[in-house]
Amino acid sequence: MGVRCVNIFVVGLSHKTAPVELRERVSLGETEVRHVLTQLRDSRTVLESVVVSTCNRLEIYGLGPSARAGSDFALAAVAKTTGVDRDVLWRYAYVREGEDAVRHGMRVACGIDSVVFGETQILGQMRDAYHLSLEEGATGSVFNRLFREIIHVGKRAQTETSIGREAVSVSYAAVQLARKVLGELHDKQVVVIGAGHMAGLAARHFGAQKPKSLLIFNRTLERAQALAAEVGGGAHPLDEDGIAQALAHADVVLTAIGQGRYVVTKEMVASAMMSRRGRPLVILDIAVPRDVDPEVSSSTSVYLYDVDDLEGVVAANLEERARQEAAVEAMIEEGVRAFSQWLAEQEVVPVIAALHRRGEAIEREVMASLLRKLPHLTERDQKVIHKHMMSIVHQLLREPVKNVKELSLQSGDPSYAETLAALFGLEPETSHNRVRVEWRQGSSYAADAARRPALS
Amino acid sequence: MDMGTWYVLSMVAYALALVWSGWSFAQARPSSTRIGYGLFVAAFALVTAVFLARLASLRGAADYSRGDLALFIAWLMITVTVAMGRGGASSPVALLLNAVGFGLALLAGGLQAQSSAPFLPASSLLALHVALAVLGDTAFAFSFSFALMHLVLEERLRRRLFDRWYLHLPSLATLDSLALFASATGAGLLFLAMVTGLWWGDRVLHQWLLTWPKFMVTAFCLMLYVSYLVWRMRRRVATRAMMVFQVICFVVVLSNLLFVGGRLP
Repeated sequence: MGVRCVNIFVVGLSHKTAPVELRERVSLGETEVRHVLTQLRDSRTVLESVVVSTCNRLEIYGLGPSARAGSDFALAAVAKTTGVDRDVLWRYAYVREGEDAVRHGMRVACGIDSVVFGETQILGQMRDAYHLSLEEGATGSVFNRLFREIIHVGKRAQTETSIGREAVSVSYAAVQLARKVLGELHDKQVVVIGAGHMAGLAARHFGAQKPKSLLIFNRTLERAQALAAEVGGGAHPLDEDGIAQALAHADVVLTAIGQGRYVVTKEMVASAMMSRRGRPLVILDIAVPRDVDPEVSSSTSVYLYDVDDLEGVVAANLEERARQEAAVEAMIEEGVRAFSQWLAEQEVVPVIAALHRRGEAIEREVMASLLRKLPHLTERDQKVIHKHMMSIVHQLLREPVKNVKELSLQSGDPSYAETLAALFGLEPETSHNRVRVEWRQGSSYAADAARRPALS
Repeated sequence: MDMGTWYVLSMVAYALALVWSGWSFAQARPSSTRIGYGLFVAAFALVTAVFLARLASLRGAADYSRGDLALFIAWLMITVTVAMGRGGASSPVALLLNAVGFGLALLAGGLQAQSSAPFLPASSLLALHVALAVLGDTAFAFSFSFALMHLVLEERLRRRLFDRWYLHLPSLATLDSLALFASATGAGLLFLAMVTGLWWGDRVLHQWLLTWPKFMVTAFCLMLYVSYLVWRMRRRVATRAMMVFQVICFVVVLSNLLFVGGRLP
């Protein structure tokens, strides 16, 4: 038989198996990924490949005659490109084969395997990795289909569940909390007090909501101006009168100074609330020590939250993401089944096509013979005879084709297609230069953790 | 089977749908969400059958009973839930809407048992009055549901309780807008219902029914909702207080429905 049996595998290192010192050494840029892909493409060990490289993982998805040999070759290519010893890579690597490799790819795309459960960035990174491999000519029909399925499952997880929707950072949780009270922020006025790291992160998140106005207050006006220019807002020096005035008009106030005294006092808020006519004010104090007097929350229209509250929101969001895991796992299983079915079809479809070609060839031969013996047949007679002979061919093949398709798809066993090919003598045509993906025997393994040396 | 049995069956299905969806919301299990939605569809089919059977038994629009009105509002709430789809049916919005709807459907059964023969001379003006009044009460029921949701979310935000109700309820601002819209619609419809009712009294009974208890309590309800609308537009009062006031308004509407008879003097 001219069929080559091949395996899908993934070999990689991630935050779960490798320390950051190693991950940063094997984190590949686009040029390096192209270099690895070229090495893999030019080998006979790996027929198709995709390299996914992020700050938390390096994974090489491959299709080859042997998963172990392919994994070894892939890590050797990484070692050659990065200068990290191949044995060190092996000690921290994991390998998944067959169905496990496909399932793993889908779990990664859905963000289930990420440091932050359910993060959505990884899907874009996997899409980019696949397109890079496509550009480099490192993928073929199997990986083109596989990665389309992986990306499809990742998209479904994002759109059909809330796995990546809720905020998991304190700065974004602040935006979420403000929106829970005020709704959309595009017609709201936001005040950010401070221009440090945390204030900057929050200001960027608020800026992305396109509020009506965004004012940055800071002791150093230049820093406030720099941040305001970045997020599209106005800058003000930090003074009590300015803040008091801003409180009267603002809908959201975020403070992140932490200078040890209250920047927003109960009196300032009480005075501001007089002119607000019951309009709600959301105050988010993410500084430690706190910038806002906790007493301000005694006013019925003031919603005050500190950093502990925001961490509570983040914890609730993470819990909610974890609740969605069962739904995402079900989508992954559907994706694995769809890919498995496609693989089974690839075994049977060429045989069926060859069978139809054989039937048509026989019909052509018989028709030619008939015309030699009955040369007086008119064009109309020829058409009628051709039509009826084709009808015989199709009726004869209908049942065997239907049954072999069903049996192959149900059992995943390629021998039905092979038997059909052998019965009709199709073997030399259909099996030439074909590969068969060994599918059912999924397995995974990793290096013995005890043998892992400390990185120097 | 008689209509009473169908009614009991529909209430059992409705209760099951409500309990299952509540449990499914707490557990966040997709398979149980599907079953919950299926139960809501079953409850919708049964309540629709009961409601249509009731309508078929009426000789005219004016023959409707207070039970029919309560059942109609409950039916609308299940319809909204079914229209929200599988995901929406297990959301806190649907759960609170249907908690109100189920209460009204139970009330409908109780009121139906006390219903008496029609007593009002029929006319197309009366039919218009009935339709406007029913739609107005429905708008108030929705407004009450949104006010309840607002109070539930507000409570969570005050207590820093960031649970699934917090995550899945719409924002306070959205709920406030929905309650405002539903109240304004209800008040407009109720006003038109009162005008058409008075007009009908003048044309058919040849008297202005201004001293009729039903009219006076309805006018009081309208005054309450107009007060809410004025406060809301002028924003003199905190939103939470306005939502509590909304709940009080609906209690008065229900009291009007339950305790103030529709018989003419």
